[in-house]
Amino acid sequence: MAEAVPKKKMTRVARGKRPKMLPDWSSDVFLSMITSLTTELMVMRDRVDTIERIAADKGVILKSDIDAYEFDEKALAEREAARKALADRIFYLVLQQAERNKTPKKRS
Amino acid sequence: MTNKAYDHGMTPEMNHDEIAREHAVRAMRFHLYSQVSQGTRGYFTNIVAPEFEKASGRALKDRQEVRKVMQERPYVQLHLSLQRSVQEVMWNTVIENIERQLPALNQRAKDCERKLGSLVLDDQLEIPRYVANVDIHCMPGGYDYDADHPDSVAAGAIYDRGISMYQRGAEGALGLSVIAYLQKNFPALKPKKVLDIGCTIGMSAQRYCDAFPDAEVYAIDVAAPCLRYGHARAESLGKKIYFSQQNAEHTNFSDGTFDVVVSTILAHETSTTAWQNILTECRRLLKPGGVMVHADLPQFADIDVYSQFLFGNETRYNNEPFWTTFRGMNLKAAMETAGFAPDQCFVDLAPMAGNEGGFTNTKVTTTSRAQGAKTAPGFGWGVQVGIK
Repeated sequence: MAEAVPKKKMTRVARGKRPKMLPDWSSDVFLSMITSLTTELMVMRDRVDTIERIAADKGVILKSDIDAYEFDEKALAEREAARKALADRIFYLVLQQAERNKTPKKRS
Repeated sequence: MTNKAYDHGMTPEMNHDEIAREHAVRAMRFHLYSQVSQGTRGYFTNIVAPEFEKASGRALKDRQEVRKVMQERPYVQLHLSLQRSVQEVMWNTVIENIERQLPALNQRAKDCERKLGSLVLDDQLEIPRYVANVDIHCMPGGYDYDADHPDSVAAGAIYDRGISMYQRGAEGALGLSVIAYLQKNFPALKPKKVLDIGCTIGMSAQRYCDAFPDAEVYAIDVAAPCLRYGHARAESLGKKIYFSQQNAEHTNFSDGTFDVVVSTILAHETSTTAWQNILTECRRLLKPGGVMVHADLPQFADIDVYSQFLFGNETRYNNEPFWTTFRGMNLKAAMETAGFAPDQCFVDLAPMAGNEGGFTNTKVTTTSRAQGAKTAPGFGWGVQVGIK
C-alpha cells in the first residue's frame, strides 16, 4: 500500500523508570518474553486454524502438500522477515535495554 | 472478524494476525484477572493475613501494611511482573497496527465529512504537565502523542485500540453509568447543554447524544490527537458533538452555560491541585440548579484494605502517579472548597451500566455485581455529585 509520507517509527516505551517486580531485572525480562511468546503462539494457532478451515472448505489434502511445497525467493524472504518480527516482539524488553546500552548516558 | 458493532469510521484496518493478536491479548488479560489475580487474593486471605494476625494479634490495618507483607512473596512478585508485561504487550500490539497506517489514519480524519458537530483546536494552549509529562497506564507517548506527524491522530487511535483490548464493549460504558445515575437520581433533569470534560476520544460523550437528544453536547480535552480522532469518529457514527481543545481548569465558556457537567475516569489521572481547580471551574460553568457528576474508581475509604493494595499497584507498576493520592482525597471537602453548598454536594456509588448489542442499542441495563467487579471494585463507580 503506497503511503503519502514515509513510515516513521512510533515509540513503544512508556516514559518513567520501569519498576522491578521480581528479585532481579533479568527475571522480569524472562517473564516478559514468556508473555509475548504466549501471545504469538495464540496468533500462530489462529492462523493455522484459519488455513485448515479454508483448506477443508476447498477439499485440499494438506499433509503431503506441506512437505512437497517449494518456496520461491520472495516467499523465503517474507518468511525470514516474519521470523525477525516475531523475535522483535518477544525480545522487546531486551531490545529496549540494548538500545539504552548503546547510548552510555541513558544507562539504567 | 472483530465485533463490527464497535467499529466506526476511524477504526484502524486490521489484518488476520492483528485481529488474532488482539484476541490473544484479551485472553491474556482475562487469564491474569480471572486466574492469577484471584490466586493473589486467595494467598492474602488464606495465608498472609492469618499469618500476620497470628504473629501480631491484630488485623492488617491499611494498604501500606498489606504492601509490606505481600511484596516479598514470590507469587505476588510474579503476578506483578506478569501484569506489567501483559500491559506492555498490549501497547506493543496496538502500536504495531497503527504504525503501519498512521499517515492514512491522519488523512482519514482530515477528510471526514464535518456535517454535525465541530472541532476547535488551540495550538497555543499550554498542555498541563500532568498530561504532557506522564505516560498514563504505560500508554507510550501519552495522551498528547502525535508520533511526530502533523495533524496527527496517533494518541487517539492508540487509546481507541487500547480500550478495545481492555474490554470489547466497554466503550462508553462509563458514560452510560453516569447517565443511568442521572436518570435515577435526577429524573426531572432535561438538560439543554451537557459538557463532558477530559473527553479523550468522546466514547462517553456520544452516550449523552443518545440519552438527551434535545441537548447540545460539548466535549473538551487538552490533547489534539485525541480530539481529531474523536471528532472524525463521532461524525462517522452520526453523533453531534462540539469538540474543543481546552483545559478544564479554566475554559473559555461563559458562566452558567451548562445544565450538566460530567467526567469519567478523569480525576485519577489529574493532579490534586488541578482537580481542585477543575471543581471550581465546573461550578462556575453550571446554571443554577445544574448538576455536576464525576465518575471514577471508588475512594479507598469505600473498599477493603486488600483491594486498596491491589489498586495501589496501579500507581507503582502501571504509571498512574495520581491514582493513589486521588483515591485518598476528601472529595466532599474539595467540592465545598470549590463553592458547592455542603448540603448540595456528596460522594456516592453509581452501579456499572452495560450496553448489550453495540452502538445501536442505547438501552441502559445494570450488570451483575460480579461483572462490575471486573473493572471497578465493590459494586460500581465512585461519583462526586454537586448541585448548584
